[in-house]
Amino acid sequence: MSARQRYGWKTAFLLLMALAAFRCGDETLGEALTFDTAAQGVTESGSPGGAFINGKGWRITLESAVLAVGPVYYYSSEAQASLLDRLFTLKSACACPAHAQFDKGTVLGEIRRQVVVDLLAETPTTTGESRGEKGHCRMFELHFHPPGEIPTDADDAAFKPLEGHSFAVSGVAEKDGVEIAFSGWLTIPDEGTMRIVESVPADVALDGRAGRAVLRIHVDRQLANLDFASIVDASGACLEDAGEGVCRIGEDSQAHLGWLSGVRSRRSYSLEWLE
Amino acid sequence: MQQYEVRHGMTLIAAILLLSLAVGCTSEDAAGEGSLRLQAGGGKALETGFPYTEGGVEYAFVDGWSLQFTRYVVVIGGVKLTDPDGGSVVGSWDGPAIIDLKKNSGENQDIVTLEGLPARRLDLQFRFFEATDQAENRNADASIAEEMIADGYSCWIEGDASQDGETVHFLLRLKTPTLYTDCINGKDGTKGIAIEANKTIGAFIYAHALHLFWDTLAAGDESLRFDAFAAVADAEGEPETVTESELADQDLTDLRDAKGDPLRDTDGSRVFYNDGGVLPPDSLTLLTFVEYAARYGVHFNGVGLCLSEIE
Repeated sequence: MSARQRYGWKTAFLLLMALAAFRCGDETLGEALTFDTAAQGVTESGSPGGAFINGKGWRITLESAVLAVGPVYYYSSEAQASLLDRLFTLKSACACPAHAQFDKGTVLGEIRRQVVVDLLAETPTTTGESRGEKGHCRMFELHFHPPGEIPTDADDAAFKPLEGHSFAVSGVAEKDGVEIAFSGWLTIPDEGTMRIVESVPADVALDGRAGRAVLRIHVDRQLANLDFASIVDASGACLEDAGEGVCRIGEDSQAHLGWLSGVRSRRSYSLEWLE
Repeated sequence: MQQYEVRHGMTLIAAILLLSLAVGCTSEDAAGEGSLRLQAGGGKALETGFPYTEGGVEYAFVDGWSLQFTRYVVVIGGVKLTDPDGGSVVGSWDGPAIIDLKKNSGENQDIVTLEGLPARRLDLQFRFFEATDQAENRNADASIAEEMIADGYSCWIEGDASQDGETVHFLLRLKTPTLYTDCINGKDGTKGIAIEANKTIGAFIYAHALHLFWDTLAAGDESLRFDAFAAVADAEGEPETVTESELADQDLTDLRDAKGDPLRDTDGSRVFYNDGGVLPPDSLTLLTFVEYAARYGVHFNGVGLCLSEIE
């Protein structure tokens, strides 16, 4: 075989290899990406430090609001059973208790440790570095386990307000001239996938640009369905006394179940890229 | 001679390249034509009611109710079979048809047979419609079909539940128009349906009635319950009959029993329905929950799931 022949064969072979490599564009491997993450409590009106009125008509002024979250996963697929399907006409896969088949797509990032977030902080709380790959995050999920069940870098002092629970809140609620000081803790029951808030819609490009992914925790939506009348009796006395005139949000109360619904709601969370 | 060999070699490579491009990313090319016979059914739940055993699993209400369906009427149409690569429609049937899935003892019932389909794997989509006078009543009682058309219902689900000698009639008339796309085939877990040449392939849309009474819209730890339904049966209208409007009275954050006390499980804890974080916070009612459950309870070829879009 002459040099010319060999050249011809080599050229053809290289062309064939190049074609094989590029013919199916969706089979490319993701490029590794590390990005910073943070979390911050917010309300419709901005800072959760201010008062807001919830869906049951109570004007709530928070004195403290803390939660422990982690792991957090960022995925490439669109949200399952989107909460905003009517509003944004997004498609949603059926969430079927007995036979889930939903593909969450590529894991573009993850925070594997548990972090404590003061929801009244004025600035986002750093929640660590996520390792994954470049892509477009269309969905994320949050895990809410009691402190101690997940590795953490936070110190004991950070966890103290939670008293072994995933959520803690205190403040004052007022409606029709009735004022109720309240406090409470909440742990999501360990049943099925209850402790995972899945398929929260997102629209964030993870492309290596400067900034960080900030988890917005909508405190007013978490507390949207608490009826504080359920933690006092007909005379206005606390059903569970937390001391100093403060009523405990008891586990048997509507307020507790409303809070549970709120922290499980996909509408209580969003993701934003802040440069 | 050497030039001929080079040209011959290059021609061969070019042919391989062209073949590679032609085959490309397509793994299933059409080879002839076939047909799809599409049916709808409700499975054993409609056939026998609750409790029942299937595949060695007993499906029973944890709060002790037994339940029988007397009607399960749906409005199906908008069937489209599309090419998975380009999305072009290769077969369709607009319908819609009003079909009572309880009739014929819950056996699958024909929707449509589509012929002349390319023999290859195709994507399936279909719709549940609000009934209009354009809908063809296949087998529902005429008075029911007329009322569905007049009021625009997409589902009419009716039956009786019993517990300890007490019987509660339920009548759920739902407006849940939904587009189902990208269906997974429940028989083999693949996407869509493979049409075979010179054959009629059978497939069915499955109204999985269990969903209506499961206490979760998420995955895992599901229980069948009816207490929350029965509790509001006397709230309005006919006594001992629970309708969809009465379900709107049940606040999911504060479920109550018939006496108005908190609804409790056998261990004394309050009954909680897990909505998977899906329901709108301003509509946390048992009615909204059941509407979502009805939408999510529609599958393809067994328990194959589809993407669903509220219409």
